[in-house]
Amino acid sequence: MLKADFKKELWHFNLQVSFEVFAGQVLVLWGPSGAGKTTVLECLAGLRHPDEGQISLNKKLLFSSIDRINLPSRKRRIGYLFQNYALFPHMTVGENIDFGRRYQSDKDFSYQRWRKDLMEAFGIGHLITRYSYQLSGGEKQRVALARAMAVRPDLLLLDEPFSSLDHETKLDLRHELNAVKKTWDIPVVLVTHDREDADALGDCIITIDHGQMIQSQRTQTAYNNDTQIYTVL
Amino acid sequence: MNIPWDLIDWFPIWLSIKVAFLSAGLVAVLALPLARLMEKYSFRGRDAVEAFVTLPLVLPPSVVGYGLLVLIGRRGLLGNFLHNMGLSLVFTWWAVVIAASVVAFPLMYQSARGAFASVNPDYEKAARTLGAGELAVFFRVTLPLAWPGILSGLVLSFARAMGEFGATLMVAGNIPGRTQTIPLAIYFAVESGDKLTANTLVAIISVFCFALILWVNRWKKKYQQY
Repeated sequence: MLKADFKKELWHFNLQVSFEVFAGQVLVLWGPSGAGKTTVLECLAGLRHPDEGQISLNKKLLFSSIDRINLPSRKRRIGYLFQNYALFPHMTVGENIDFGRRYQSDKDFSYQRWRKDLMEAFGIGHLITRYSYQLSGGEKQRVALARAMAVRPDLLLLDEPFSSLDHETKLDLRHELNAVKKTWDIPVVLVTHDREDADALGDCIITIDHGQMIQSQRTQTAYNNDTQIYTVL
Repeated sequence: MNIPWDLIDWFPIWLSIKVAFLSAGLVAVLALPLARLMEKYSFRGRDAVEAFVTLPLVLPPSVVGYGLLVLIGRRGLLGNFLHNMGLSLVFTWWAVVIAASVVAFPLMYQSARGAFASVNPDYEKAARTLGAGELAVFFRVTLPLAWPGILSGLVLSFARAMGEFGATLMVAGNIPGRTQTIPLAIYFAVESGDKLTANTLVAIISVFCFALILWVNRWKKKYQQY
């Protein structure tokens, strides 16, 4: 479970959020661009430093201003899907996915099997030797998602995952995200400015504007069980 | 044209190549970390430091040469200290390397600075979330992505080091067989009416620099396909 409650002063407004996300749940941060959504994700990932507050993941403290704890990104075990995917352009798809391999320490873990499962789940096995400039938008995104999942994160963060995709690809991807949620059972925080995406994917939607949480609501999806989630999509 | 190869003094060619390689290497080792630090951290006086390291690019070489004499000359600030230890830099080929490095430094620095700035920070962030520490982020992501710009800087500083004349003359003099580089040899050959030496050296340095730039441009094209 992810618990976050923090403040950060930005140059044009103050960001203040507080929320909890359970494993297998998707929290959507919805709001206009420039509302501070990405900053929330960056604080969760340890890429930026909140001014005060606390962030914990599965009872492990990631950040605490009182205890002066601020785990660096590399130790947080967080999968981050960037808006522009940020696939390393000088590496093949395979090298991108294996990038974090050497920083994983658990010995009794079959990386090869995990990798194979990911390839199958995202249908990217045939792209392994390609470079990112040789991929379509949807393929890039699936690769980026697989790369984020390859380090076996305890939390998945998605920044505007649908912004540059056509309708068809978007629907495929919603399906895949639900698969991620179901298969890997980790909390997911998704940022979007698109209300339709927010409704379709979120178990809970928080509306953010000017850094403040304006509204928090559970969606219809959350009241249905898993099989119904699939029919909704 | 029938070139009497055995009459050509090869020393300036050999010295120029040696100096250019050493200076480019030295400048890269110093300018890359500095460019990276200046890119990442802002502090008071950063602009002043930046202006200072760019100075040799705009100052007349004679001014740079004079400055170096004040510093490493026998009675200079650093030179005096070295002299007491039995070391002397002026009028040695090390002075040639120092003069070449100082004038080449801004070129490497500026190229590296631009190259690092052109790397989208999202790639570095992605590497961090995937578990990489700062050193790994630099060597596995930042450096490879900035490489085309850094290579340009290397070539520019190499060429600048090879062509250095004014500052070199002031701190290293024109000692044939010791500190005489190609540009110095050309100047003094022309002055003494030795057309053969001048023509040969001009031809060699022109062809060499042309080939170098051609190779780098072609390589960059290949590297930057993505």
